[in-house]
Amino acid sequence: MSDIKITKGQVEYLASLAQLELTRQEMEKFASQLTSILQYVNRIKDVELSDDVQRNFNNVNTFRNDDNPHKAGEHRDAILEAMPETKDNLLVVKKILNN
Amino acid sequence: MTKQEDKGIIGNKTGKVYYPTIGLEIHAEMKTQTKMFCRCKNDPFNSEPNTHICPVCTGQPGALPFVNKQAVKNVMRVGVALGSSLADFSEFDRKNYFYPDIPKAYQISQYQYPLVSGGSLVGVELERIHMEEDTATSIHKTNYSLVDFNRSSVPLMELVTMPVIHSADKAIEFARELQLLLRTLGVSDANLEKGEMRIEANISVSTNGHFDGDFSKLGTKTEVKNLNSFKVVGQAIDFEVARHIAILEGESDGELIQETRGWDENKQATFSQRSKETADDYRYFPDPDIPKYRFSDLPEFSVDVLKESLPELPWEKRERYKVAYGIKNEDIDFYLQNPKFGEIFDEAVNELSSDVEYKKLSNYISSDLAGLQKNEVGDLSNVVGTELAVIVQMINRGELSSRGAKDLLLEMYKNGGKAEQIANEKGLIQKSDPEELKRVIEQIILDNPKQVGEYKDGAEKLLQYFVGQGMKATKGSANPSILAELFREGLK
Repeated sequence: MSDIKITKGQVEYLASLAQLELTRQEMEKFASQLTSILQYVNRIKDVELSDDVQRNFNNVNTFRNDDNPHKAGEHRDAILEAMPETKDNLLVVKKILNN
Repeated sequence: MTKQEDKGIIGNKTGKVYYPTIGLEIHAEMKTQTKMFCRCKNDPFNSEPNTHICPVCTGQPGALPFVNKQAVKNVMRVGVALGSSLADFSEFDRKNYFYPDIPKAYQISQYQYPLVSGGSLVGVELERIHMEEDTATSIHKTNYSLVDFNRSSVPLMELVTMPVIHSADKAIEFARELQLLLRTLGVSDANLEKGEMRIEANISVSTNGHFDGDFSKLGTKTEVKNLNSFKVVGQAIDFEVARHIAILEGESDGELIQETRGWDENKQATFSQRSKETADDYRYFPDPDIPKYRFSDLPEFSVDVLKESLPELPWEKRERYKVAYGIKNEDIDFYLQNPKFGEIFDEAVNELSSDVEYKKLSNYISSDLAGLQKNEVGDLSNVVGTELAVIVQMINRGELSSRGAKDLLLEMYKNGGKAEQIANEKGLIQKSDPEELKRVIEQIILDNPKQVGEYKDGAEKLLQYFVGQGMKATKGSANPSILAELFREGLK
């Protein structure tokens, strides 16, 4: 399965979707690393499977009832503490452009 | 441009006929106790920032989503009301994109297997309704932005219509009726100004006639977002249609590309926003953390059971009011938009039996009672429908004047109580007993010798004066026409 190949152009496009800035060297490095990762994962296709094990439907229709809400603020402090920067209990992020 | 109703719009320069095509995407926050995938309270508006948050709705590593049954059921109930087909198999997908208001870097949504497909509302066919989670709220400052996760993962339904709308008016009619339906079903408060209901319009114009299922016939479409009132929906659609045509006619050097646009309230114009990612860019795939659904195994999700859970739907109610009671269209709309008044009408109208009574009742509710709620301190729940029916019957029997009825209604609105008892206590029962009124009249005649003389000399207009004195003496409780009759007799 060596036909999968991630190009530098694809890495560049993915980086733009992820709003990441990459250097030329990083793009080349990630293109070759992603190619080898995908080639490895692609080996799953070589496993012979009969039709009836393709989908596991043992675990279906699982729901939670709409009740017992968390106490207000129950998880608040722990989560706020883990945020890199806060202001008046709000998460501070870089200025969002557009929208 | 010359507008020709549904026949398209004729371009100034070329004389070509342009047909606007509009499809709507409407998001509505579901009214549930807890969020979509966790037990945080669904209460984004009344809390301090970041109060209702937990590892799941802030996207902490390893946190697992757990689907809220009621939220799914609410979307299916909307589907049943709209005559749509309900999915048997359904699943949730991850829609991947990076934005500070989406902490997992993906939104849990649905892609290939929406809960609901097809159906229609006010003649507009639907494509689908699916279930997803709302994003966090961002607050923009000069040099940074702030994020509040109280709204993150609130259950959100997204309804998509087919591109079969051709005017702003129809788009507004659809959106209004959907809002009414969501409120009637109790699944969403659907306030536009609060963002509980959010409308996006996909707009294109084409010279190929109306959409007939062939998407290639449609023109370049633009999507206008963040339309936060019905009025703005109409304005944005009209603006975009005119903008598209002006560009196609060569009257404007703007550019017509597929893009997302916003609405600038000050300029009354749309403006270009970020170019939209395509479906491929979202790299949708089934969320491996959420089990699949096979609804045919769940009787409570069957069409029959869900149908039974529906209240009377807006269009059914309209039909009933029209056919059974023949009341005015404005009154019908008033009851649909103000269900508490509608309930009072329903309760009262059962006690009545003629068209005259129905109309009188509806008049007292939609004008008098509605006026009291606007202008007076009191409580609508003090007014019991069956007692309102008694008031109408008393008016019809001549026991209450319209003045007396208003006073009685005010007293009832303020303090509650039984109609007949209030009428007796406040002396509002019209005195129609001639013997009792005769004494009042004799006294008035004695007290006003000058006017009596003038009347007898031919000033018949003075009869009104005497009736006025009679009303005053009886504190408005006399029937004026009976008074007039008795004065005419007494002054002979």
